[in-house]
Amino acid sequence: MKQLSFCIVIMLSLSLVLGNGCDIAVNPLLFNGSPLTAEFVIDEQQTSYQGTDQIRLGNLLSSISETVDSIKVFNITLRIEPMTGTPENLTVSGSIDVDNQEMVGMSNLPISLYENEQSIFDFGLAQYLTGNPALVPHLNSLLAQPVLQTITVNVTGQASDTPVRLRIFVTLYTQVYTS
Amino acid sequence: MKGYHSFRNYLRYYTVILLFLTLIIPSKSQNVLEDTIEQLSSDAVTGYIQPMVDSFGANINSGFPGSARIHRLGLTVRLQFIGMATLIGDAEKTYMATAPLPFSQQPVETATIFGDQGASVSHPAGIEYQFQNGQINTRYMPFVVPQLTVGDVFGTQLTLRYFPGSLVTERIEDFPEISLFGVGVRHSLSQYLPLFPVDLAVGGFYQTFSIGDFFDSEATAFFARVSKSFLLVTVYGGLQYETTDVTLSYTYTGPLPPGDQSDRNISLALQGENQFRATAGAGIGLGVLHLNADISVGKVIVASVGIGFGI
Repeated sequence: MKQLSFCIVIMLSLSLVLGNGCDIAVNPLLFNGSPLTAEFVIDEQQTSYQGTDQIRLGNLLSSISETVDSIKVFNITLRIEPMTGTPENLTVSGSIDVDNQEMVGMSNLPISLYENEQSIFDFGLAQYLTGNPALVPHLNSLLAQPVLQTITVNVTGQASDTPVRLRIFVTLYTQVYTS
Repeated sequence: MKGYHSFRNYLRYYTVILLFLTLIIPSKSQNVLEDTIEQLSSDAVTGYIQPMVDSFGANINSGFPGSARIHRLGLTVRLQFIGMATLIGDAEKTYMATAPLPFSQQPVETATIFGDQGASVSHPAGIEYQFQNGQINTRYMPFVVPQLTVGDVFGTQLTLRYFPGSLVTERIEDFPEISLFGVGVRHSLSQYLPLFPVDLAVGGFYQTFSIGDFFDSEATAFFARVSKSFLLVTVYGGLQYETTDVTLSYTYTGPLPPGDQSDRNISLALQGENQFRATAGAGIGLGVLHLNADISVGKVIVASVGIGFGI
């Protein structure tokens, strides 16, 4: 028993010496919010089209259990998926609005450029898209509210040809700062 | 039977003590680590936790018996408790990372798990992105292992490291199972060189260490030792080649692009970057009590101290 006590003292001493000054979880963790997607199915025999969908901002916290300090948008993406029958060289002009704020204006945008998901902030496509500098601050202000709202996303526009058979996806990416 | 129960009791008490350092800190770190990296894609997580892998590898490959003095035939039975600590310097606190699109793809310096706050990058469109914050503030990364050395037969000693994970889970609910197993041999070269002024030995060591389903590792080391004894004091040094392979298994809970059906179960293989080291140290024998300390220099700097009992 004396030997056992001695061993315990030795181990405890080693542990205390080596463990001193080691602080864990010193900074708040950052999480990526769940992506929020508005989806529009356009199926028109005329050139004009429009669609409406809603995004529940609260869903971005679906996989986060920590206390949230703030939430910020870091990307918004657009994807346009043509369905069977859509002319290959179709272009669209119009706008996408988020919570009554224009997100992007589109001018003769070839839909092929957005067959893969791409950021609306990609300045390489600036000739086709015009952004709204007030959009991100507006969205961040919505995300700062104690109760996250449901917002409406609208797409309206004119296509260069018919039929217009498209799936349009607008996705919001956020970072969640915990405390 | 009484001896068996006493040994079992010893192991039980030893479990509690070992918990503080080898189990509590890595396991607390494991919870923080899991929460952190579950949000990171496998590309992003590597740079962030590489210093932790390096320090773990350097630690577990430290503390092997230092003296090269092994009798051709003799009796050595020594139980040691080895404490190691890898220094965490500025180089271990930052790494170069690339922000996701549409941000600039120019790498930026940001915090590792040992660093401070993650770097922030801005985009002309008014959006910002921040890399993950560091989570562990420490000047060194510690580790403790038990070690039993027996010999000497044909100038060879056998060293064992062992901790059965079930001893913890049987007693503490929801505690991850932590297990350690290591075996190594050292062989005297001096026995073939009777008039050589110093003792020479070579050896190798193999270890496995795991925490629950999250962390699995294998470590190997091959070393050459030289030592010289002066009455109670032995000074020793050596060179070592080592490898550490770590596998992290976790479920990625971060976002995927819409429609992306990629497997969220990630098995990330990492390697410790410490491959070569030079070691210098000294030990003192006071009857059945043996104390030693050494320092190793490689990609990282590791110090170890040992307290041993036996002959």
